[in-house]
Amino acid sequence: MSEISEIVIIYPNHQHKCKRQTVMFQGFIDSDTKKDWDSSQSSTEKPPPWKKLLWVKQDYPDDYVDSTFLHELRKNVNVRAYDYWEVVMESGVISQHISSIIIFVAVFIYLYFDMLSAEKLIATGTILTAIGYIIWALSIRKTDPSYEYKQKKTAKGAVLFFATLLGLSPILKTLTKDTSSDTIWALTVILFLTNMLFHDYGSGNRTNIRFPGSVSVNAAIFASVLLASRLPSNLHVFGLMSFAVEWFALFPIFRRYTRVMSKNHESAGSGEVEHNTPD
Amino acid sequence: MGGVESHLYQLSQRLIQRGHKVIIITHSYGNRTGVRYLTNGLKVYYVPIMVVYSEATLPTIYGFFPIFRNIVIREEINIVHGHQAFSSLCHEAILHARTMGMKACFTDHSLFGFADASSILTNKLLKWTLSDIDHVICVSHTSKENTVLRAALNPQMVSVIPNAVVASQFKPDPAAQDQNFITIVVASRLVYRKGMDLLVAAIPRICHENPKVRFIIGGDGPKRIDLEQMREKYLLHDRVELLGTVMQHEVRNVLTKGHIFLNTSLTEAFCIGIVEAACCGLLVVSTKVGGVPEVLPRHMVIFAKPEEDDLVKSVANAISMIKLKKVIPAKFHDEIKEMYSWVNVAERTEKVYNTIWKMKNPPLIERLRRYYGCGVWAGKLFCILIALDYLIWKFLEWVAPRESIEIAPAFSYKKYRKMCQMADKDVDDS
Repeated sequence: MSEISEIVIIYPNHQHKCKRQTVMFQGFIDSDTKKDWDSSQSSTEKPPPWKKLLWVKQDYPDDYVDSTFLHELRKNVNVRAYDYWEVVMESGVISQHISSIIIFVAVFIYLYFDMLSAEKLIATGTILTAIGYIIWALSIRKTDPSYEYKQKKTAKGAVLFFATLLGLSPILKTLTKDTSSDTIWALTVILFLTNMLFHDYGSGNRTNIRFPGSVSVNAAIFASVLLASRLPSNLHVFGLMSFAVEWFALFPIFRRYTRVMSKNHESAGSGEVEHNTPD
Repeated sequence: MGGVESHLYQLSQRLIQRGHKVIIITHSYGNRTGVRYLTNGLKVYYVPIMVVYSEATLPTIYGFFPIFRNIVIREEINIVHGHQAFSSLCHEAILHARTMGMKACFTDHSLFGFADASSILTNKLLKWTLSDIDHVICVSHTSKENTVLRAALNPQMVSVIPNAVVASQFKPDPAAQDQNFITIVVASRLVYRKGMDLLVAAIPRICHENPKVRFIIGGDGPKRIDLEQMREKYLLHDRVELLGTVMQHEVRNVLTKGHIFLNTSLTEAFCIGIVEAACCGLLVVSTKVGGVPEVLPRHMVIFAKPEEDDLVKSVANAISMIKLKKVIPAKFHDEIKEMYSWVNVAERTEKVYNTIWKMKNPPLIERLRRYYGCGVWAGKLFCILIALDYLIWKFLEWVAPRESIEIAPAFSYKKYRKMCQMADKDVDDS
């Protein structure tokens, strides 16, 4: 089954268009049948050639196999051959995401063992987010000019969001404090696996997050809430949560954007159409 | 009654007339259960097997064996002939028949793809059943190529025997046509495979281009809703008539109302519908798929690619041919009568039976060898299943020995005919 991946029989109107293939099974044509057939016909006239028709009565046995058998067979018409490096490039999205999860866990461990101060994390996160936002805003303005007016709203929303997060930090910190660490670690692993499975790898969407990508983001945020309860101070919690939001909600959008950009750069006008669905 | 059912019925009738004994085993249909006699003593066993989905039975592999064994011993069966690759009952019957040392052959009525998951699975099953079979019959040359590829068969053991029509049941009737209109008839199940999406797209365009055209659509199925919506949307209630399910004996009366028969199938091994239509004196427009190009001579049918634009073009072409009277479809009937007859089909099938009757039965070890070749994993699995089948057979032979099964008295066709003639005479005399 596996050796024949795809076989399609197509009956084209024009015989000449159809690529001729070597005849399979020709060796099977029974010599006895042929002999019978030869002797039954008078040797003076050549028998009329067999035709692939049902409505004419032909002087051939029902199990006759003509040399044109399977002539119109076309093999593997839809098969695409993959280039090794192309596959590596394409699967890069997945390894990228796995790496980003690992990086997040590493950051948590650094915070947990106090090898990284919360202030540093918040500062780096803010600066990088601001840079990323500027690049994104510049690019989105090219494709969708209406975004220029929404910019203020987006900025206001971001400030409000992080302020709320700061206010909620003490609550988030104590939310799952009573749960034992073993449960937290196990749950975190499951949630990050969910995040990995549902992550939006394929689409080039760079304005919003949709189902099932939203499941992925939710799982990641939930995992960070669980992890945050193990941290010593409120500032640590705020640092990890804001980093989680930047890392799992915003950064993938930026990654998708860079991927689309590099693809467009690589094969300008090769027919790759990206479906952007601005909200 | 579709193509396969009528094939079974007609073939059985002709075989009975030629002095064979034929019984049909099928699953029960609703309250139609038990054993029933049809015309000329054709005996049908409706086996009580659970039907899972749209008249398909649950494949249990062994569940059917005891009752099957009982029936074949009761009826003294020599050859088991299975029909249709989708039928699990057919696959099981062939396996058990081979285990019991009977001859088996198989008729494939449809074409199947290779690429999607369901066809890969069905093809594997088919390969399994057909690994150990005496002969295979296909309804067209295309179908033969398809089956040979799917089941990895030797093409030498595959015969092509087409379907046929009872020409006397499909006589043209020019009086039934409405000469004010050009009527296009469509008669098929309204399902995806029959190209209903194509039809839904094409009808508004054809109606728009030709104000004198109307459609009559017979048949039912899930795509009926689409057709009704199309009719609603383009306000074609007076020009597109949906008849719903058409009984077998009414098909001719529907066909004769039309000038043109339209077949939009996406895949078709033989397409008996277009033969019936041509027999009724209709010009046929059909998609050129599968075995369709083999079925009718070129002057009876106009081919189209299975796409909207080409279909509309071909229908327009057919309409102009009818208008200008370039073809006289009423003459088709006599030609078809010569081309397809069930007597011919029965003769050819009988020839197949005679060949396989002479063949030697392979021992169990040879059968296992054949099944083993089905695939790396599947081969081993199939061997286990067959070995178990063999053990179950031996067990059944022990629990219910052959001798303990009562043989059913044979229905004598000759006696029956004689009695019928006498009865006729009595009626004439009085």
